[in-house]
Amino acid sequence: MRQAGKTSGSNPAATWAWSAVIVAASITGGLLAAAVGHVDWVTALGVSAVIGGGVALLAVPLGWAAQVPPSLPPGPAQRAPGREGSPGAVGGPPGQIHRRPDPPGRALEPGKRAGPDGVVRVMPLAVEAPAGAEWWQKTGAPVARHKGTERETAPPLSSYLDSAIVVQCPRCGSFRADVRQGPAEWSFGCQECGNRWAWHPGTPWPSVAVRPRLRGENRPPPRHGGRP
Amino acid sequence: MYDQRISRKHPGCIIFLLDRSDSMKRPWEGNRTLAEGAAQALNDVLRELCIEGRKERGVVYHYFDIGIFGYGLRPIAGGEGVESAFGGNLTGYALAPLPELNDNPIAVREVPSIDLGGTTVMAPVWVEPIYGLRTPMCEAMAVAGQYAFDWAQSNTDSFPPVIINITDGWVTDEPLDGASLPGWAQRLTSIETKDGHALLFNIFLSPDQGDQRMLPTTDSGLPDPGPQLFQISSALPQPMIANASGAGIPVEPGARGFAFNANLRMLSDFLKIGTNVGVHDI
Repeated sequence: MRQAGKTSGSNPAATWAWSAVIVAASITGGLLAAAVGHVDWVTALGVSAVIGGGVALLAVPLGWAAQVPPSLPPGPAQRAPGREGSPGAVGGPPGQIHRRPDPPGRALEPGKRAGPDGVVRVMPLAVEAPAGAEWWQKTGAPVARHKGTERETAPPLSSYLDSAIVVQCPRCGSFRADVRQGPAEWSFGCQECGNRWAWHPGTPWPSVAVRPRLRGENRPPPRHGGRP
Repeated sequence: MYDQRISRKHPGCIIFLLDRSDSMKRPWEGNRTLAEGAAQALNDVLRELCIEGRKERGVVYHYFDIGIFGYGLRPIAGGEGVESAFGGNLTGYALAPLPELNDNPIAVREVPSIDLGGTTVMAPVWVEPIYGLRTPMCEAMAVAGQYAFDWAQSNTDSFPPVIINITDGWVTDEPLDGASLPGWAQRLTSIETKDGHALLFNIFLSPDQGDQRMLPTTDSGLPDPGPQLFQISSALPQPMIANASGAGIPVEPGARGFAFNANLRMLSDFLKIGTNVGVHDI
């Protein structure tokens, strides 16, 4: 049983006052019962005092139990903005969050990007390699997740944003391009304007000019490669 | 089984696996490549989901967690493999809640409308057509399975995860971690919530318009890789059968979530049926 001095928000004086009220009410009821039922008033007084006292003693610890010690962590409702138990919830339980660092200029801060129901629940790709069984070996009904039971299956994305490139033709801006990976460079061919260019990893992507009118000119004949 | 309706309390999870192998550059209908058609149909169904989730004052509710994994050419990490197809503000994330998805398209462009023939419309874009290298379908299922499993563990009362695989080729990375493609499909569909096992649907795109099948009940007569993809596809649960029937697509009992030699219209219908599991706002 917790001690009164360790609770938060309790008022011992009020608690004891309520106990006294309960005992008095019990005795009064006992006396009234004695008057109606022609029972010895000493017996009625004794029984009611014992019952009232017992109820009052029970009420005191129950009242304390209802208090929330300040040392406990906040409950689910306070764990905003992530959803309780969500593996990737921002602000969720420790050990279940694998959030890569926010890149410059990104605006996915939990407080600012909360959804209409207060939820920000983007589940980022895992970048760590927790030890433990593979997910497909955990058969049966859903169970609670435990820290350290996950597996890294996502590709390494630590430098994801720094290297993010969507192939776009520098000449006409089209996204329709053939891609070939060479030993030291990537070769591209625009399917719209026929432009061909190469890119070496680590070098800047060529600046893109969107010229839709160039599309359709010099378009190379379609190549029907075999299925991989 | 499969009767839990989607709500904010019990959101759903839809994961798309998008083939980004080299063969997706083959020309398809409407002067598109397969990659362009697949990306367009995917963008369309994502827009539909956002519209479906939009309630009063234009607020989009958290009805779904959405994942899109491309397999084949990895435009970001480079080389062959699997990576999230999200871009822009969602770059690098595996599952995105519907409100975040709605707020973060990578672009709003004029695109040809599938529903309106040759007409173009301004529409949000989340997925770009990209292709190259081979077809690591097993790895895609392994990655999707990790996130579907985690999601199911955290949403035990929800409708189970739905995984929709869009491909035009043969798997090139089996066996992987001791399992061939059917083994990976079995692993994937062993994931479950209290409402049922995860659902795996497959659609095989092809410029060849012969022998098209939509939600078939048998693989009889299908050329490769039709029989294998049919076998690993889940049977359509009753709510989706009702949705298909409501959309005018006849579905026989025992139909699988599978389409073969699909054209763009079939892909669009397939995605709508596979993602429509009934939203119930509470």
